[in-house]
Amino acid sequence: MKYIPVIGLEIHAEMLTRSKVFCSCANEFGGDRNDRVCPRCSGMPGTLPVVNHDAVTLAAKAGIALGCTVNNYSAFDRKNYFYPDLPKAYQITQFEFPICTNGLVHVLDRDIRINRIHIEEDAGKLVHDDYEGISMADYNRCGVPLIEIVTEPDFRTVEEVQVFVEEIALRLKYAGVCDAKLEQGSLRVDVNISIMPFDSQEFGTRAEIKNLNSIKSIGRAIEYEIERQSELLDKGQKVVQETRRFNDNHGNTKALRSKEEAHDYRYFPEPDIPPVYITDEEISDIRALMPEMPQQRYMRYTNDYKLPADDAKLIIADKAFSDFYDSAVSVYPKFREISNLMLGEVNRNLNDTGKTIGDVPFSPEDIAETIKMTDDGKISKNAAKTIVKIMFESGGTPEKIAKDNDLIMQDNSDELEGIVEGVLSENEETVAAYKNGNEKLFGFFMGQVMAAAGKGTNPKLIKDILTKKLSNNQ
Amino acid sequence: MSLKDLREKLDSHDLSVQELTESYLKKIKKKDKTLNSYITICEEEAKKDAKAAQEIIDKGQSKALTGIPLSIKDNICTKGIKTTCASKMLDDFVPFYDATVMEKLNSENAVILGKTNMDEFAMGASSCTSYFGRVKNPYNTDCVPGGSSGGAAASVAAGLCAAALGSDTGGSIRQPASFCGVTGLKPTYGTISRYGLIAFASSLDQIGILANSAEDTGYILNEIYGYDLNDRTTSKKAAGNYLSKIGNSLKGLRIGIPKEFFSDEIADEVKQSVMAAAEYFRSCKAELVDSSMPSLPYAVSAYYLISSAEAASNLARFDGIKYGHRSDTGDTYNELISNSRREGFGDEVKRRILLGNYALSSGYYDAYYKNASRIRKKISDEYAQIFAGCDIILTPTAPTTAYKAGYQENDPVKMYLADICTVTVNIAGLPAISTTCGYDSNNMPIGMSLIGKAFDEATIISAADAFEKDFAKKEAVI
Amino acid sequence: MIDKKLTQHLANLSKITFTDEELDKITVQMDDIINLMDKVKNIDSNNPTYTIDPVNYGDLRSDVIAESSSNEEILKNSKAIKENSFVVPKVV
Repeated sequence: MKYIPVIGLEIHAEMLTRSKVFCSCANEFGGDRNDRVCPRCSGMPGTLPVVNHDAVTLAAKAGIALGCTVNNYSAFDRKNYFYPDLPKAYQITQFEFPICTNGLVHVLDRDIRINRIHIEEDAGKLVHDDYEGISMADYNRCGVPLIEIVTEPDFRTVEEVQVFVEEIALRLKYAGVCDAKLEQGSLRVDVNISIMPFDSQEFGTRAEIKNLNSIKSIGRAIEYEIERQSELLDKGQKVVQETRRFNDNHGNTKALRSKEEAHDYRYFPEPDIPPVYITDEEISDIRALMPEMPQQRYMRYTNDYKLPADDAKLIIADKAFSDFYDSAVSVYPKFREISNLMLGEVNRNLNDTGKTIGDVPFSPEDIAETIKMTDDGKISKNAAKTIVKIMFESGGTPEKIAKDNDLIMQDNSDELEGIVEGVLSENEETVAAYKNGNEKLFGFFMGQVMAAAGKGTNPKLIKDILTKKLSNNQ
Repeated sequence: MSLKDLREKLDSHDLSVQELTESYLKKIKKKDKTLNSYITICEEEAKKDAKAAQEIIDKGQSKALTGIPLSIKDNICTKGIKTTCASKMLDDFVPFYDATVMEKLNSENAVILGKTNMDEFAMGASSCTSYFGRVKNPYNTDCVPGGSSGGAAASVAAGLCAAALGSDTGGSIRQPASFCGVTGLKPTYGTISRYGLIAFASSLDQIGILANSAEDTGYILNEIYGYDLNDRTTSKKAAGNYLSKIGNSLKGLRIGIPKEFFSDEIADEVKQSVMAAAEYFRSCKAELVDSSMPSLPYAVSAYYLISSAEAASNLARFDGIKYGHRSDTGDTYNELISNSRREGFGDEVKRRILLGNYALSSGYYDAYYKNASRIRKKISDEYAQIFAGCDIILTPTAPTTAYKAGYQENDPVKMYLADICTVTVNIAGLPAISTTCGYDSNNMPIGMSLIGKAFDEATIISAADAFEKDFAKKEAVI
Repeated sequence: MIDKKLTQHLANLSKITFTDEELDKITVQMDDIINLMDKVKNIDSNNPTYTIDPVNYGDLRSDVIAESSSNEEILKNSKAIKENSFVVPKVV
């Protein structure tokens, strides 16, 4: 490759407030068109925006999660443009004084600087009717609170971008800021990309790529764009600064039909909203309320719980799953065993049933109890798996499931001693062979005893007794 | 009759609300064909309001405004009643929500007689830019009533309501009050909620009161001021008790007289009349203080840049899609809204939108909007300096008395320059009251303004009240 | 100096259609108006700009849901509605 790509991101995240950012309509998804709209968010004359306290809190949390400074003073501005999904014909955003600035996120040996995070309102949605040649405007999404995260152009590879986006999504989820679903649009990534020759210090002209709704399409779009821009430069042509739309079906990007005149957003201070002042103390209070971030949780899992790095990452990648795990180990701190059961049997059943951990009809305590029963010798490891499967199907406590399904191992040591002695005396030659060093024969004895003792016998118990008897007879 | 006296008459059953309301409706029918001060007359609603108010009075539960017939400027949203801003754009717009001031008036069962005429979107000082035709001055129907609250001022002057609500962005209450010989109060920015006031320039707009006396303006302000959760630019500093200083002696009151407000641009008759008022105050043992506002020559330009920039953005929502005039032509979204706005807005509104977008557009923002904002800060600071040496400030309200219709409305620059006496008050967010201090050789009223410190409406109301009690007012001819 | 091209640009930004004749006329008016506005250029750019007093974070609106307006209310002033939506010519 003759060129180095230079990539920066603009990430929009829908915040998880109860009400919208400048009015009290519910911040929800779905429903009938123009059903969650009031005079304010539909831009009726004479109405005024009123800032939602929790939108500021969540934006500050996002900043803390991404290593930003939360600014004491932040202010709102108007971004003016006409579009049918924008009823006031301006978007309220933060231009000159954003809530957060100067963050830093480390990915794959590179430091990615966060330029700023600011609060803004989302626009509505348009539904197009080709037959009638009309577009229909639905304002339900108008005023949904967003943050926009703007990075410096610090990325040089596709992988860095992908890992970064996953990391951001995870941190926002952990911080309770956003549910961060690329596919559903609650997290939207725009990529600014330019290329420059290897020996150059000067960035090239960039294109902005929109409509990227998966980690995979982010990668494909960047790769396509690098190729497209390289070809242009190879031919001695210039890259045009423009916005391009990624087409997932064709895997290419196309210039969006540019608006008739160049964008001139005519930003100016929003006169209807006084700037917001947040004290250092209030910022510390928000910081204190921050939940544990994924990187901290990773340290806890690997250092304190001694989980293998890969297992820790797997658990943390899904916050709900990880919270479930945490609840289970808080009841019964067998970290590794619970991790194994969850990453093994629980995950397998989640995949098979298409459920998420939030939908399962059993509790973390039930998982803890299952492991405890195994440890106590009440059930076998195989039985634990069966219990998980049954809990998936029909719920119920592990105790009851074990009983109902005859999975309880009896504690019948006395009886077993007799059976073991019987087996050993019936197989004297084999015992001798074992004692002469053929230790593989231990399995043979196990099998014999198991067969004689019947289902539900604790193998560990048999093993213990066998070991004892075989060495006693020496 | 003062509102206080009217209150007593209603409460003592000397007069019923129905009789009172009927008499106003009758006068409106008789006089308003000529004056054109109302866009919408709410006859049915007013009668219903009157009946409800009377029942409350009969139960002995009346509040300050119960049964008092008022007019409302047509840029204040009234639920279920057409609210047009005197524009073709909103010719048929019926809000489904009330402005906060309307909720307050309704909660006291005031009677709403109708919605008053004005300059289109409150942009103007003559009430000639209304889509519904020009308003006439009750002292001389050939003359303009001032603006933009010209309908409100005329309705008070001609006795077509007990008092009126207007709005003031750069003088839109005080100047028409001056032209029509009534009293107009523009409170401190943030005193009355703007929720439901169709915005012209958000950082300058303030609802206020036009009435027969300073006391009446304070009487109404007491009922409609206050911090509003729906408008976070309202202030908790708004204090109430606006009549508390009425009757106080003026002795020792320091009245600043900034010399720049008495320049050559001000008509001699106006200057003489205002200076005579100053002498009156001196005779009451008030102290006159020479003061200065060096930045006044920049005020009109700064005001027009800021107000037009905000207006360009505030009026962008009028695209004919959600409400308002929608053009029959336009195959694309762009064409449709551009045609709707072409057809829906009048010339002055279009000029202000172009000017505002000029001031905000890339390459011009720093030179115009930002410098205007610097001048705004400077003027605010100069007011603070003046107020360090005085309690209130006395200025003319307008450079001239009411002029003949058609005289200067078609010369925008001339119109803009005539706002010189009023715009700084909005720029600095201060309260000011205009009251009549004389009449010119044609018997047209001359107004003076008393400007107060922020949230100190009580002092200017009491000073204006003292003056009014010793002043011989001439009635309007119509 | 305001010329017709600039007025046309402002008209585009403002989304207002003008005829050629109107554009000529308003260009002359705008030129007069801008001459008046040019006075603000006399201020020293070291002067601070005007700002509104901030509100405290603690005084912001509590995040509580209130009932939205009815669909009927929202749409009743519109001249073109379909399927509970505002209708515009198709945009790309």
